[in-house]
Amino acid sequence: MATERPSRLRVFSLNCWGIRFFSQLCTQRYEMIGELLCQEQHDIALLQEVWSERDFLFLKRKLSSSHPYTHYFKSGVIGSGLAVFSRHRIQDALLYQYSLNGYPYMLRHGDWFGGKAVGLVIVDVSGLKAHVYVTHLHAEYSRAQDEYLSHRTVQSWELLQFVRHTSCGADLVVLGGDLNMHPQDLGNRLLRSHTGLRDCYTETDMFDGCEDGHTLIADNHFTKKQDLVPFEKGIRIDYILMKGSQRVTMKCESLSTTKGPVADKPFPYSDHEALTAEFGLLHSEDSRQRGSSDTLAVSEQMEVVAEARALVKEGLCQTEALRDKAMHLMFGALLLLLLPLAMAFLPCSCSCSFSTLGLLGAVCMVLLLSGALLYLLFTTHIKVLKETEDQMMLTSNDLQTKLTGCQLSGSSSLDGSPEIQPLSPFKREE
Amino acid sequence: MTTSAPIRFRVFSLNCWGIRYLSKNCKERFVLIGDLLSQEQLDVALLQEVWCEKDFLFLKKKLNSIYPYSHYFKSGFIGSGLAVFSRHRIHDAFLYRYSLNGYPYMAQHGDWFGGKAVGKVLLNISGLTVHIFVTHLHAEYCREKDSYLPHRVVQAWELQQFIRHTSAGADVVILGGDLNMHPDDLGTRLLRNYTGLQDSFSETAHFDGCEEGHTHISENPFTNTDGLVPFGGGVRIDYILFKGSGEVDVSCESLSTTKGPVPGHPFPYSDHEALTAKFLFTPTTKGNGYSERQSGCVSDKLPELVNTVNEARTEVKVGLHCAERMRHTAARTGIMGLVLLVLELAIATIPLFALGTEQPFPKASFYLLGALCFAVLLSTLMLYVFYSMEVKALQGTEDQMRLALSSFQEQLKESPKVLSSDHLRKPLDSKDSIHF
Repeated sequence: MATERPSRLRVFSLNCWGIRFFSQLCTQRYEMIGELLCQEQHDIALLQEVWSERDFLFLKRKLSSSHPYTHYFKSGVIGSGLAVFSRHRIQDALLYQYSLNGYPYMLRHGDWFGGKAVGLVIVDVSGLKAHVYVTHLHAEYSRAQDEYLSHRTVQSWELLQFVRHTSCGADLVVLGGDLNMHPQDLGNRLLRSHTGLRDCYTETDMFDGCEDGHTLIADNHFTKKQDLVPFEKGIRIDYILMKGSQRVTMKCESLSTTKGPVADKPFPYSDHEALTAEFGLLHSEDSRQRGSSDTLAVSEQMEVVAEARALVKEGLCQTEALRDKAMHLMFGALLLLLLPLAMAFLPCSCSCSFSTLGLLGAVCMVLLLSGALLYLLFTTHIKVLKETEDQMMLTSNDLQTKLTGCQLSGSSSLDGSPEIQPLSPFKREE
Repeated sequence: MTTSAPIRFRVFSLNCWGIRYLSKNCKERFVLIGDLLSQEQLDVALLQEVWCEKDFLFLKKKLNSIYPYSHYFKSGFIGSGLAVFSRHRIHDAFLYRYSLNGYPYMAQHGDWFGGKAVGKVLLNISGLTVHIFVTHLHAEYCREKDSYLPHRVVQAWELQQFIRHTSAGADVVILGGDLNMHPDDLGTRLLRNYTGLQDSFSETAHFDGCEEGHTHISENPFTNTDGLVPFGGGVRIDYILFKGSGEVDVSCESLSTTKGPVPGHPFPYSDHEALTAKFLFTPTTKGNGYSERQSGCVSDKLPELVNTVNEARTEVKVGLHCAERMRHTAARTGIMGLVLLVLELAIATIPLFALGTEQPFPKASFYLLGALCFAVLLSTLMLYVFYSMEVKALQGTEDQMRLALSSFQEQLKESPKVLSSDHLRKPLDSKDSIHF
């Protein structure tokens, strides 16, 4: 039991756009970000797209007095890009790398090379156990024809599962990051309805920032206007979500965002806007957890899971088609390989066609190898999609049981914890 | 509210060796396994190496009346091989795939192609929240020179992290699987010490099975006896571990293993022996019982844990140096290949400037060399990508371990029991202070 209850907690979240040699004015912007964090003295700063470890180490050195506790999540080829700076002790950290994250051959998108993940740090905030999550989901390059939608849906599912399963002992839960999804997108609704996390923007009474809470805006001169089409002014894709517990009631006292250009500075901090949320924490012994605690919420959860499942199934079909193409490529290459081999052994071959044969053989080998690698990749993706679908089905069945049980007993309220709720003591399982 | 009557709970675990076309009598053995599970009055069966989904579906159909709930964990290229059959409703399932699992070019070992992971299912037994984990770690092919040790240590670390972080609300935690580690190996000690899970073999009141609880024995006709000779004919690498909580006391009433050949059957169920554990869940009055051990980090166990984590960190650092060296080699070889290709292209342009065409252009060698350079470039590029991922995973694990150690230091400082300093080894880095 803590003797002093902190009444306030300030959380900062920013997608830093730290792609060395690609994003503009990277080093200078990190200087600015470092200064901002040093001045503002947030309790916890959650950064995304800190792709280069050097930049993380620079910030760590700069913030060593204000934020002595840090964690840099490493995964994938380039790294997860996720970093946490905290004024309070970080007791533990865990990383969950998403199973799907784009394709290695989509080099111009490059997401696959970043090991996108959700990082959890357990922070001791004056005796309270805060579970703080930072994440970054797959980018959306074309809303009209989003080839990564199933990947982002799987990522949302894994994110909500991870939060649900690891936040049991938490006094408070905070999730910050770039979800690359609009507030009413399926993944967002899935995340919020199943974890009980609340969106600070909708919860707060005091908001100061871009119109409609946008975090990627046209006024920011780093942002490409075509990325925002058809949304002229901007989109809201970065979030700070929160949830209290039975011990602690959390309220978002205020939320603010940067608004593009920074006063006295030649350019903004990043192509994204930064979010700062201030929470009020109230210790209360018998507060009930808000969220998924009634029939309506359970039905809503079921609907959104059904929608997500349909999407995952669609992604599964698409990936199976891709895998078939890879298999055709392999067999085609194999057949084509027989041609130069046959010709090489025929008596009428002459030296001048040797180079052509060699070239053809080489091309066939490359095609065969590519086909094999793609087959490997798509098979792995299919496994992930099937697993996600199975997990969704389990949850769906579970919700159905809750709903039926709820209706039978006539009560309209269940305890909101995502963990199994004890049934009546007189009712044995099966 | 939990019921006050104690509950008996039977758990089964078996590495099924279900590698179609490679493992012997695969189909017939799955029939035997199905029969066994049908006969035994089990609550939960945890299977590993069910690589082929068809075999899982066969078992599912066969066991549908007795075990109506099941989950097959899918990951990787071949699959995780993990399956759960349960008499009780499975409310939720979650999978954590290990970051490291061998090398793709070690095709003869093949572990990389299986998506080894830890799977979790959530059951509710008469109001008790039971978290069941099933897993399978990387195989050990050569104990003297175990090139996969860092990978297995990372897997053991991720396993304990996953269990600890996701079982905070559990009344009962059970882990079954093939850990591919001996009871006193680093990874097993790390797992047990940090999670507080207890080994059913050492805790059981009544044991009936192979000598020393071995689960991979020379009497089994499927096993390779040469590998087991230095260990006296058997090794214990499959486990059922358990833990209660403040609400529930869990004890292992009995544990049994199969003993190789099965009477009445022409061959055993698998090359591994099956484990069956019978637990007793006794709801306790709130506050009594297990709450002290819940965190797995009691003050007197802390120094041992610090040593274990330090030891694990050393292994991970060794693996990291190795991986960084391999990545460097891949990069160097790739650059050499590139230089060779450029050189070759330069040489090829000489005939264009030659005054005459006295010498015929050596097309064959040109193309062959070009193909070789290209192959070298491509393979070193892929290896560079792979080793980068390995390096990141090892660094990430080392960071987490360092964080854990600094947490332990804090706990020890705050602990009322001040222990003698010779219990504590110094952390590896001198700059490792409280403020990390």
